[in-house]
Amino acid sequence: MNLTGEALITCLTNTAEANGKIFFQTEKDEVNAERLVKFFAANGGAEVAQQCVERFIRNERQPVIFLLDFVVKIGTIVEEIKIENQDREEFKRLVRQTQERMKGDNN
Amino acid sequence: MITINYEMSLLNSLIDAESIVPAVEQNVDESFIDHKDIWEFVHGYYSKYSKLPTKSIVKNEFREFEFIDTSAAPLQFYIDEARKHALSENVRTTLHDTIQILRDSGPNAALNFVAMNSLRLMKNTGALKDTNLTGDYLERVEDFKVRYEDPEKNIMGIPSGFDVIDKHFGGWQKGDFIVILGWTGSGKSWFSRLFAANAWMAGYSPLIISLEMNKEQEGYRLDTILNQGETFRNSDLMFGRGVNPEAYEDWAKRTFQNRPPIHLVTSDGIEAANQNVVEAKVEQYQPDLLILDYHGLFDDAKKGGTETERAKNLSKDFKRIAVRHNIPVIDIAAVTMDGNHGERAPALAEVAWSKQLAYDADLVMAVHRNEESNLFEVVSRKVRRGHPFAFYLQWDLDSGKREELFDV
Repeated sequence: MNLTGEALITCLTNTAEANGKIFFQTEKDEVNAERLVKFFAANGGAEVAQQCVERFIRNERQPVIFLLDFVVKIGTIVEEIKIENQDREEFKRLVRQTQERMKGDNN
Repeated sequence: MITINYEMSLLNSLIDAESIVPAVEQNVDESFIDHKDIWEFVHGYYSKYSKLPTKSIVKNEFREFEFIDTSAAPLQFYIDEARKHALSENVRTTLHDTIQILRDSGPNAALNFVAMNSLRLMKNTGALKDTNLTGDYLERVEDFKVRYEDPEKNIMGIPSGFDVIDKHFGGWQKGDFIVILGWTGSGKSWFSRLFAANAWMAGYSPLIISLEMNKEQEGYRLDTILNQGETFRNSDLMFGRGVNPEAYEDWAKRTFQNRPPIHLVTSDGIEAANQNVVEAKVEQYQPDLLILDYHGLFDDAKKGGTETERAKNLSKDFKRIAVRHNIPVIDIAAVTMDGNHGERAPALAEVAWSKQLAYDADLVMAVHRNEESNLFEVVSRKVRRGHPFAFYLQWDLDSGKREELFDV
């Protein structure tokens, strides 16, 4: 996904559809989406934006979703994803370290 | 009354021997019933003046104190006799009270009372295990030689069946308290049964206390783990299809005949599953490894007020059971979180009783898998001895086939 307002709205629409929900667009969505793009540019970029959209849509209980719903929850979701990404990197680092230690023990 | 004479004899013998140390070391407090006050005076006197009181001093304080000649036997004889008679007296009292409870409150309450009190009595009358490490060095050297010469036994504890865990933690050792953390549905129970199966295959006898599954589910799950897809899948056994019954029987005979027992306790067989019941089952079966599934389903005999208090009480007591009975205990803990927990293994801080857990546990291991995935992530969250570790496990739970991995 490119980090543009249009791409973000497309991502929300497609992800909602894939999860059996409807992303309901309103007049000011394009302006607000551009603001979200700026936010994501400073908070992890396009990859985090996509992860946030997927998590938000998956967890949202309402079948009809507005951009404003996403805006309200975005802070918490970004924090969760950042922690998870850090944890994942730490896990991979520990796996590598364990592997090296095991090789060392076997030699 | 005979009991009085035994207590009096012990008090006289202590004063005659001019030594309180053997009595204190052997925890004789509980051997005094009728003359606890005299014992406390003698003990307190020694603590204050670093010597025992004379019999005259004791007589001045306690008119009922009797002068008895104890020269016929050593102090240890009087300690042993006093302990034996105190235990007899306490057993009689417990049985008397049990009959009363049986009449008033029924068999379940009476059984629970017996279980709790018999454990307390055994604990109170037993001595702490003291060792002189300087004098025992030969024992350690011999143990090391055995492990050095036999590559199959080079780790100190029971093998987990995972090279990574055994090399980083040294296997499940006596007195270890190991906790497996995971979100709901992450495969924690499967892991613990795999550890039980691996220990059993190495010749050890596990005891599984399962409050989540029944006997049939447990049995088929264990069979699947042991069979590793050679003859059948778990779903074949669960749904009664796919495998020839004779082939299943043949495999089971070859696998289980003349092997150590695997004891299973399920919740349909016990009224209240608390730490006293756990200890009673350990006493009954004397296992080499204890598995508790899972922490949140056990009742707290100490009746902690909040859920966290109950979890903390259980944690402390499970660790004590591990140490007291000299066996490793593997405890499973489900971690829950409001909303989505994400795609990662839980952290130690996400357990409500994490501080207690940090004190008690020798190893905390988190397991995680994404929904319906066969790829498990295993990561240590606390390792009391050795280095932290992490690895992947490719494991088809239905066939039982599995492989430790680093690169995925």
